[in-house]
Amino acid sequence: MVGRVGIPRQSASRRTRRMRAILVKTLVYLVLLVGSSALLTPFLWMVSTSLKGYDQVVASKFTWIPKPVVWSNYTRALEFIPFWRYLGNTVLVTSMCLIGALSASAVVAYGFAKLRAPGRTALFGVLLASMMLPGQVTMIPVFVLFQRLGWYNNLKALIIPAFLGGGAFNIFLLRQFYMTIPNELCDAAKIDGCSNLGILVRIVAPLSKPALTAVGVFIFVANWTDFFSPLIYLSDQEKYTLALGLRLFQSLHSTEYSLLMAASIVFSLPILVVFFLAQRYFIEGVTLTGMKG
Amino acid sequence: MTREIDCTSPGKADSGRRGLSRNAVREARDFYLCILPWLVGFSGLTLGPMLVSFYYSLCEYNILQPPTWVGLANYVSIFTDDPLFWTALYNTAYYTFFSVPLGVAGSLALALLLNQAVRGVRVFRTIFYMPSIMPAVASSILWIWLFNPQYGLVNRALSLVGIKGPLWLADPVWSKPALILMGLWGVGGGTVIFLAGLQGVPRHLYEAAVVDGATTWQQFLHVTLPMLSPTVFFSFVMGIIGSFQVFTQSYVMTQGGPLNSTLFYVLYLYRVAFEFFQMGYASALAWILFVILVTFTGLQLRLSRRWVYYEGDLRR
Amino acid sequence: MRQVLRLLALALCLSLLATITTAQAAVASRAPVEIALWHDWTGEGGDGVVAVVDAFNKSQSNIVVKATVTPDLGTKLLASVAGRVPPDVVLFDRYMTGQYASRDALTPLDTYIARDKMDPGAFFEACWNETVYRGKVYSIPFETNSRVLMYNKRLFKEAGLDPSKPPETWDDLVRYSHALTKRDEKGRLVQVGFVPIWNGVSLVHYLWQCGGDAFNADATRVTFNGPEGVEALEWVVSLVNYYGYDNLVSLAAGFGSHLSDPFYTGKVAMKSEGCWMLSDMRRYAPNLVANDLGVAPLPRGKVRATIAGGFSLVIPKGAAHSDAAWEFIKFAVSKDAQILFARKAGTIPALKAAALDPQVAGDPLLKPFIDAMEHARYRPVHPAFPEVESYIYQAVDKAVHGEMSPEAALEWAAGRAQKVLDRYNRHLRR
Repeated sequence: MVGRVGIPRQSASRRTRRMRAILVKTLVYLVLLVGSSALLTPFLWMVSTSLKGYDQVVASKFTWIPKPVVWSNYTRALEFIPFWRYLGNTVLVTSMCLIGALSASAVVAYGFAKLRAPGRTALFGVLLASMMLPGQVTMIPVFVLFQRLGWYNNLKALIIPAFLGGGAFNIFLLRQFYMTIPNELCDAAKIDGCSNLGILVRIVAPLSKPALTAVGVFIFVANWTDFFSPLIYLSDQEKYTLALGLRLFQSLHSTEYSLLMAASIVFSLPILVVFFLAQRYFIEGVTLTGMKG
Repeated sequence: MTREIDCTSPGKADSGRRGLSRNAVREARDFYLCILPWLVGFSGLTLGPMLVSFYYSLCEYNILQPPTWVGLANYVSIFTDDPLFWTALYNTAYYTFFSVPLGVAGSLALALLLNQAVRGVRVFRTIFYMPSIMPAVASSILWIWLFNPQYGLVNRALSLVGIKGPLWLADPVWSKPALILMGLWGVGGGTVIFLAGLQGVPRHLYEAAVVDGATTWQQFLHVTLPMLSPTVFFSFVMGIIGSFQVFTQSYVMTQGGPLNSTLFYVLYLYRVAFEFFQMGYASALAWILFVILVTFTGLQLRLSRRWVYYEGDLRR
Repeated sequence: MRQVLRLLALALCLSLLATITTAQAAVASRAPVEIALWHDWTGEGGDGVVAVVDAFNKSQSNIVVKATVTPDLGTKLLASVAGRVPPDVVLFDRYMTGQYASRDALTPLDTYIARDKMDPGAFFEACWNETVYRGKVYSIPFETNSRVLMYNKRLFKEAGLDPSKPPETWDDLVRYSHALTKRDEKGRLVQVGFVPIWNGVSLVHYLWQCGGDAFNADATRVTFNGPEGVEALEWVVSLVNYYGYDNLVSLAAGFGSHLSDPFYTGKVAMKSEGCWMLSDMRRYAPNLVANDLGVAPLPRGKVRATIAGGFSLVIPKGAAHSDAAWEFIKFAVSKDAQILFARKAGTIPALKAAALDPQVAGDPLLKPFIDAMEHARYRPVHPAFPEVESYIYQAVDKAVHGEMSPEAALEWAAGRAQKVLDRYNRHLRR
């Protein structure tokens, strides 16, 4: 874009270019392989530990391949806590929160990004400010409030807040993405008689698929792994979620490490699957190619 | 640097500025309708507790009994008679100063790498995302091992180039760098945001750049970066808010030690609130942090007008 | 006349109504009361809690206890008290009694104790005393633990020490530690004797063994910086310096060491430990337990002393069914229930008769822990103590890192801690 008038680049020999492309690709692979093997190591370590017997867990010499492989750790881990019940609770809470928070934040962010109104800037400041007070000091008043609302020991305490805004982080993130969408697109639709809801659903949301997917992943992970809200709001063990159940493997004085690792892996797998499936939208979501300029 | 691109986007007069036309009223109504869920949630569930915590900050409050009013006493003793407050503030500022820029740069670099069209990139993306969801127990065990002064991978690698590595987590000078390094491990979350942002960069801009003879670096500098600036801005704002509230790592791994070198602000606040039952004092600490963060974020918002480029932001 | 009749009819109706409602109430009262018990025991200890609860529920038909395992119990309990929805009974760390009682968050149990003639002398003295705040009893001891010296007999033999003669005094402990320390050719530690700063042993422990204490008798002054405290910290620092702090860090942070204790793998020859470790040790290091484990009283400084920790049962203020909760507490500290729990959880019953029963004391590994209760001490029952102790930890940290001399570090900590103590005392008097 800048300067560089003069010798057209086209004249650079095709061969050098090809060579460079191959070189770059090799380099990319190298970095990816080295990096991912470094990042996989702890995961493999978890897998390895999850398949070890007691004596191997504490052996002074660390081995990667357990001998013998104790598959029964997994069945024991799933029996250690009411796994299927907790899984059901977790799936219920996470999916409700996903629906609520994603739709709410998508709509709220649209307001902040595309609609003018007196007070918008100030309210946006308030939105950001709402993330700046450590939750440790609002926890008690929030608890008292939820309790008075009758949400104590009820999944409502975990689900309803998701529908009310969907989280300042997500709103802010989506607003940033909506802001990059040219206003002409919205204006053109408006001239065609499209309502704001129509613009959001037909233009802004489809163009923001990558961002919406990313936010969806964040909401999913945040709720799937949330330990704190279930801890303080649920007092019936039957209502526990998996994140809370996972803590039951660490007791006061002793920890069943193999079982903890087995349970952690089973716990994390759905997140990895969701991520793996969702990421096609980071890439294949509609790009703005050719739509402007 | 963004001037060229600015020229490509057609300017539009801000018609809504003048008075309140019927359209403007409708637009304002729609704005408030859109943000209504958040407005209800904020005013109903968040604002009240925030105000209550401010009230607590002016009280002696042990959670178990009703608060008693002490005025500004908590604030006064924080500023005049609490060396740990200054220690915690310093530690947190240090951590933020290094971890935020490194984290943003790291996740952007990783996103560029994972945006390449190479075989198996989906698997790689998943692997790189994994650390950010790893249970804290597992990752803390791993890092304690990596940072072992004698047998750990980090110091072994350093010894290969003839450097005698420090004690890392057990050394008051190196414990913060160690935690910053560890924090970079979880850049996968930020990478996801940048990956999403990269999809929005119109390809024709790169094509134009290539025609103009721009090198890869120049393309990055003059196309990618400006187009990603809203995402970069987001990462900085959230990075600062998040790292000023860093808690888990030091809570799990170092418990604030050695010599309080990893006593971060919220860890200190947590202790005061839940181990010493001084919720009033902790609330005062929280509101001081709040003021710091509001100031920082306000500054960032102001500065952002100079460097953040919004394709659609011609309306204020 | 008519009016009288009308009045009569009305009275009849009312009395009928009243009878019906009282009858209904009577029916309702016959249905068992369900009370909530919160605890944070899992694993063997959790099985123990379940066993006691089941036994109680089977023993009578008026009350049903519903136990809930709650990770991070402290936070949840705080929230529930603030929200006025506390559980009926909680099994919590007795150490917390002073924290909660001083804030008027627990039901004083003296009336119940007097009514049912519960005998304080039936419990270990240190346990019972830790439940008393300003003359009132706020919790009933459920279980306890003490610390002893665990040592590896095989390593003793290898070092030429007699495994039947564990160290008796601090001097012995240092001498043995030197003999048990092994370094490689680069001077790095491969084996150590006793490490005074590991296994969460607070300086207060050594302070007691030197004859000192954290507070004076009426808890108006901190006293941990007296000559006893300085002596204790100097001793700790000198032993740490013998190993080298850097070397200890490397030894402690080996891969996998977080999963197990270096004691299991023979890298540490002696340690101060509580009986809660036994079930873990049996699981992870069965050979060590079967062949090489030695257990002895903690070596004495000037006197013998061990800390008595453990859990108590409390009734939070505002609990919906405090009478029913008391019935459960009474059952849980009866001899049979105490034995039942101890045998499952592997800890020491707080009730002496249960602890001394052959079914519990017959375990040769547990016996030394029970014997050690004779020298048991407990942390001050004062709301300021956790904050004061945080300064003691910081003093140890400073001294071990060589930032300050032991004496200066304690002086600094005492200055801060005295302010803390004064602040609490001022507030409590109000």
